[in-house]
Amino acid sequence: MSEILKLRNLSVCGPGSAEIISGINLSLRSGEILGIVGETGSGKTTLINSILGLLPNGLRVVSGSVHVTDDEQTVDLLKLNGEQCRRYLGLQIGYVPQDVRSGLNPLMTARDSVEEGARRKGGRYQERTESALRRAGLPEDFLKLDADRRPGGLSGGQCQRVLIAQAIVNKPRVLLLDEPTASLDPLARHAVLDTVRGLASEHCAILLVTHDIAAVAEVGNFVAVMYCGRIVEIGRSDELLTNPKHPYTRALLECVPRIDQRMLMKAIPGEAPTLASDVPGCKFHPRCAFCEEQCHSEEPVLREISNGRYVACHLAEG
Amino acid sequence: MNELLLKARNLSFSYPGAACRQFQLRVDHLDIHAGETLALCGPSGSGKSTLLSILAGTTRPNSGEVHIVTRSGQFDVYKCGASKWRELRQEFGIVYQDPRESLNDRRTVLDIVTDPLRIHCLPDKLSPTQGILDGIAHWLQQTGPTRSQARREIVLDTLKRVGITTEQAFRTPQRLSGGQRQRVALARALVARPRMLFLDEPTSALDVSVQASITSLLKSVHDDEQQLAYVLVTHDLALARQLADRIAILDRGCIVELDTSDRILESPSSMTAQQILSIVRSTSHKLHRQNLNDS
Repeated sequence: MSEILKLRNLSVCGPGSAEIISGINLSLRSGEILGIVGETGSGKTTLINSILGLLPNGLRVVSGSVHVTDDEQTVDLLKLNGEQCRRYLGLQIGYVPQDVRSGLNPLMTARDSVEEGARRKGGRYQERTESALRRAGLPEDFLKLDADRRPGGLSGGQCQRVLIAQAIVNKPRVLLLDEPTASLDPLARHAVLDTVRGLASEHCAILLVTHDIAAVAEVGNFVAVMYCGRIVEIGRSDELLTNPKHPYTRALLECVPRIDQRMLMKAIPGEAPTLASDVPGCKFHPRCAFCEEQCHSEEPVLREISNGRYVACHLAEG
Repeated sequence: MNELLLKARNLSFSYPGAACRQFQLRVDHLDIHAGETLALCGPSGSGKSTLLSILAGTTRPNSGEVHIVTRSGQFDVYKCGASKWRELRQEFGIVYQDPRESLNDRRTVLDIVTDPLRIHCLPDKLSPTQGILDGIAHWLQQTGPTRSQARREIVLDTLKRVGITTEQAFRTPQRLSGGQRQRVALARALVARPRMLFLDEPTSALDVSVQASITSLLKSVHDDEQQLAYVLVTHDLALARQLADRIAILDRGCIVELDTSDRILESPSSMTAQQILSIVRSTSHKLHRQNLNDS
């Protein structure tokens, strides 16, 4: 299958040329779900925003490319102007933002918000709106009673699913989801993850940014772990999550609470540095339990340690 | 059974407005005892946070009573009058879900955490063991700079307990990370030495690693103060398993199951609990497959 989304050497800088994300390489084929996990400030949302050209003031892409392939051609999103870019966003690329409340227009009803996007593609947009609301996991009751209410009258979980409906209404080829399960209870979360799985089976390539590692374990084909604006480990999710190689991935997995045991989880000591340039060598070394001499001075590069498994750690072995 | 701290009877509540009429909260009987941790779990919209805010005296129910049991008697929080309410308010602290919204970014951490002491005129209240003259002498001693010094010491001590340094205490919350802010919110809830702590999704707005550290902190505070009761709202059953002695499962405004956490998590009897558990178990199993195999 062909690659639909391909990021090459993508770097973003903030004020004073401080590196926010650095040298990101990713590719996604149709039907694949790639989960991106990491702590707050690791650059997950910045990565999505740089793909969409939605970087806040002060941040800019300094190098790299974001190639999107549709039926006819492959284009670099970063080289398009505003008007050309809009042709892709909402039609070829669906996006679910992190902030549920501010993601929806407070003056528009849920149905209108979804329909507005559907109209851009034309055709039988009303039918597509209904179907998108259903596919986003909203029950029939919602369509009858609540779809004509504004976001203020909906719960966080309902707003979340309206946003998903908005993103999938035009059947995009690429879907970028920023923390889609953050405000959901287990039942609603399960419904949303089912929807995500269903979209992948319809050949949509999905980038799932989340700190809900269990969600990635459930639906992801691949996982990338980000720390301090860099990918520190990437591989197939079943292998990576059950046999993590990078100390950060291991520490992150040890934080996830377990339903089968009454024991406290181990928090990662210390905090992630705000700026990567503050820490020489491996960015994780001040918090790493396995840190060695070379970790202090030499920054590890992402290298393949086994088939399809890449790790940025001096000590990782296949 | 430990000392009774709070009892709620025949509560009913619905939000005003035609659109919200479908939801009605009905809780006939709920007791909270010293030293226990009660988790309120259930799907979104089941009434967990509404019940918590009724228990905490911030949302008046349509009918029913919430009694706080103090050393001097029982008082209904919705009928006791403003001055008694202020006194009762010292019995509990509240920690909200999102620490970015619950702290004022214009004030320093020190100021924020001093608020409860100022409001409740602490630490210069008469303690029950002191005679009235001793109390006045103590109060005179504690006025002016001495009193504010005493407050500062209490605040810094509480902040230290939750892992906030003196240097961080002089910062505004916007210069702290999410986890540090939640620690400050916890310090504010603890500083007036309450007997109950209401925790509304205290970890759900935080990173998984910060969640683990806040959970350990809550556990260690509870271990230190064995008489402190927690009422925890969460939809994360794994968190409830780590902290709670009892779990109440809510669905559509009613408590459908209330039992010890072990019994609910091992053999739930309500459909809601069974449904949630089966989903949580399958997810957890996928993530911890390797570890399960190891053990």
